[in-house]
Amino acid sequence: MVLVDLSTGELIAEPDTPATVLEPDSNEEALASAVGGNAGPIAIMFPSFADGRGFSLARILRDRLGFTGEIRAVGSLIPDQSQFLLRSGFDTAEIADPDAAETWRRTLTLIRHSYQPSARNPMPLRWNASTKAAAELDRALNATDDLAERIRLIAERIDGRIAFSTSVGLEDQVILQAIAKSGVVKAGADIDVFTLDTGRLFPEVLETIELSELRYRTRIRLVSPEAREVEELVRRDGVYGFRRSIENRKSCCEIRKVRPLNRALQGAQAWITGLRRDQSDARADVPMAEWDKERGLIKINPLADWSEERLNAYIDDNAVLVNPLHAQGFVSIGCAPCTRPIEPGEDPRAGRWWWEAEGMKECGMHVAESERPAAPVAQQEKAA
Amino acid sequence: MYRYDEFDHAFVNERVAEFRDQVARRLTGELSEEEFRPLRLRNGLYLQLHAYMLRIAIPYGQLSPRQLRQLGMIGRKWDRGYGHFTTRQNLQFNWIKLVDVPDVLAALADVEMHCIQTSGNCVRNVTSDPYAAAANDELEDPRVWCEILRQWSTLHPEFNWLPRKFKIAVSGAAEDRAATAFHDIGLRIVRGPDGENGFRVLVGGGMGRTPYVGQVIREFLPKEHLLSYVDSILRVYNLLGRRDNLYKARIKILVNALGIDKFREAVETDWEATNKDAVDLPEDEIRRIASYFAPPDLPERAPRDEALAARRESDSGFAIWYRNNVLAHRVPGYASVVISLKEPGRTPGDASSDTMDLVADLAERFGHNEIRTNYTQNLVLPHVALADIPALYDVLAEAGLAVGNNEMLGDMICCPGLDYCNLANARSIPIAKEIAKRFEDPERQAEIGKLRVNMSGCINACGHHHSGNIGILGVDKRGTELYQITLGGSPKDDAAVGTIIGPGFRAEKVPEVIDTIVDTYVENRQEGESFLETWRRVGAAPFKEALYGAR
Repeated sequence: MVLVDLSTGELIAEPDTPATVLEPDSNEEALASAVGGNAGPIAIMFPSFADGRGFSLARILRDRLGFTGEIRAVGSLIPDQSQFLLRSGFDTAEIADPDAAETWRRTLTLIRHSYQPSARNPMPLRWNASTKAAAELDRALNATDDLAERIRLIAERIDGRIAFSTSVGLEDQVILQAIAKSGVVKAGADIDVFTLDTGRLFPEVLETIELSELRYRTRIRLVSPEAREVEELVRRDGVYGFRRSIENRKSCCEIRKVRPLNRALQGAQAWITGLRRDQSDARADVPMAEWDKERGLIKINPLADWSEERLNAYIDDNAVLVNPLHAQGFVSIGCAPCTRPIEPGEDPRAGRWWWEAEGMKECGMHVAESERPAAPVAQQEKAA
Repeated sequence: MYRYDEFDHAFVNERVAEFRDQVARRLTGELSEEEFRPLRLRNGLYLQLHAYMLRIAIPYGQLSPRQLRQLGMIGRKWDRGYGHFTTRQNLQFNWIKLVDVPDVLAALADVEMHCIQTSGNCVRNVTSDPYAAAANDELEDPRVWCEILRQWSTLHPEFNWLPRKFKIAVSGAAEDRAATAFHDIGLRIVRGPDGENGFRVLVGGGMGRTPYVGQVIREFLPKEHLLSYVDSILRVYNLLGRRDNLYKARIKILVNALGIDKFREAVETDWEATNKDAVDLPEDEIRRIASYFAPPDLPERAPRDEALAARRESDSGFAIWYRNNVLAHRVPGYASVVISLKEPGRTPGDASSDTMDLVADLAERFGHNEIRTNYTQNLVLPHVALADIPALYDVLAEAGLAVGNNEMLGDMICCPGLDYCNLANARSIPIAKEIAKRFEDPERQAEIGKLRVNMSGCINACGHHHSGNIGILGVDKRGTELYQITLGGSPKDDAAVGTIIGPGFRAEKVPEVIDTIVDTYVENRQEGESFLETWRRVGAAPFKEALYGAR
């Protein structure tokens, strides 16, 4: 027996024992007592994969009884039910054949669009309850000027994993500090802080991550690109191939940043970024929160309306830990070969890919998929 | 009609890719046949007597010319050049190869069609009135709500593994032309106490081996709560429906075991506890969907067309066809035209790829690009100008499609029977052909008047024999095909299940038996009485006597 995490498709190494096992004919009392007893995993038994009662039980536990702990599907199930399980409120599924785990992982992403809202729907929704929720969050965030309050609002309104992608830039350090100070993680918010380890980061970035983990008592995950894809890219374009053409540069960003990002965001309900409107023309209109249709989550930019002055003032007032490179004239910091310091008065993103034209300088993380070039390397599958 | 946007296209393409993956896993043996079966069924793929059968969803029976041509192409390329229109407004191909199915699904996706949930224990294609947006007795267009239900039910995470299949029909007119009383859920759009439209909700109707007429679970449901209420009905059924016995697993059995009052209480309790806002569609989304169903722009025309009237005077064949197959339209100067697929001697509901192409052309020339299918297995052009009808008729007549028997005895509903189906106990198509031949004379049919004759080749009742005025059920009695006759069924507002009249008959006797029943009706009827009215007045005795008296 192995246990599959339905939000990622990964196996869970050392699962807890369920506190309760519910039979499919469990009545309301049995459900209520399972919820009331403790927050340990509730297992729901499927005597046959064709017996769909467990789907309704999970939904009642989630929507009616407000259970937020782990719900586990046990018994007879097939991988093709993975999405139905996830969207009905299950977190995990116990499977007998470890060899089938790969199929479970794959079936989770075969269908990426849905017509029904549910508590843990990772997919874009036809009628966009998500758009509505995003618009409401946007309004709420706009209504307060206080960063700590914004962080609390995000934690309160998002049910599920909140991904926070940090590049360890000034904005991201401010958000990290605000999250730490707000205490939302202690209160139960599931905030997943990660950085994209492109393989070309400045050593100062890694040092700052180390110090930040200590100071803000958090773990910052490093998300790596697929080794095979990087090898293929370098074989095709060379070790600094991104200098030769915009296409090459975008291929490099795609493989080292965009795809790993999409992988890290999978299953998350929301994504926090440090985008600010006055960073560049391309970012002049970013909202506080919006529904990201392609990734199926709410993208949140809690500093969208902050000016550079305000950012610097906050850093000074709160003694926010920052990357020492900023003191050397670096402003927007990406990969080492593609970032240089800028002069006072230059556009803040002038130091990124400085040999390319203004206005187009995005790595693709914050650009809609439909507007990005086709995947560069032979295999064309979408970054899952 | 509804148009897919990027979202719907992406979804249907993903579904095709998913099925390719499932077929591949079946072929490597990673999926057992037991595991693969429900997955292929959920994509409309049955294993029948001779080959795979693929059932294609025609949501609420609506087709564009482009879609109908694509169906014709699929029939030519991957089947034997014809398809079968079903009693649930779908289309079936009977000779599809498993390896071709993913390609067929991709060809369907190209024209915004699919086979999703046309089989399996899940919510099936939602059916409706073929005259929607054309009939003059319509309160509100039911297709909007059908499309809303189609989207809601598609891959519903909670309701894809129900005890048994689940069928929903919606009617928005004064007359029920969707047989809503014979569905798991039947929805009738009605005017509510405040003058607002809503739904009268029926539950637990159905045919099969235990036929029931649906019962009212709610007299009036505000429209905006349709999804949350249907959601609650499905949840109660999913949790309480029987799973120990295939034949007792439909919701009708649960409703009748609990009684409608207890069942209603369970549903209402669940509904009260539902966060309705999370399930019901936002107003904007209802408006978005409704906007696709604006009726075509039909400039008013003269309510009487002289050339048409003259043709009716001079051409009796045309006159008969016109009387039966041309129906009133809400816009003056227009009509809805039924293209009968019931030519005597041909399989009811079958259409060749050539016929599909022809009807697509006619819809473009005369029919504002709309085609409908109806549950009586015919095609309908809902919006045709009266002035165009003679020209339309001439094209149909040349192709052998000007069969003027809509709703008459010759318009039999019939399942594929033992010739195709591995559930059937008896043949149905050859019997239907024999009956059609016996009553071929249009004058005779005209004298008899409207009469619904339905035939099923087994107790599963795909041919709706329970709701036929005359129903014929093929059974197997110790190796012999016998045909049981029921009388007095109706699929309409006076919905009723037919009564078995007596012992069954051998196949070769059936046409004569129908003749005897029809004669008995004609002898006993009073001026202007329908078959049902006569039956309800005189009862079974004269029919029994005519059929069995001599023994």
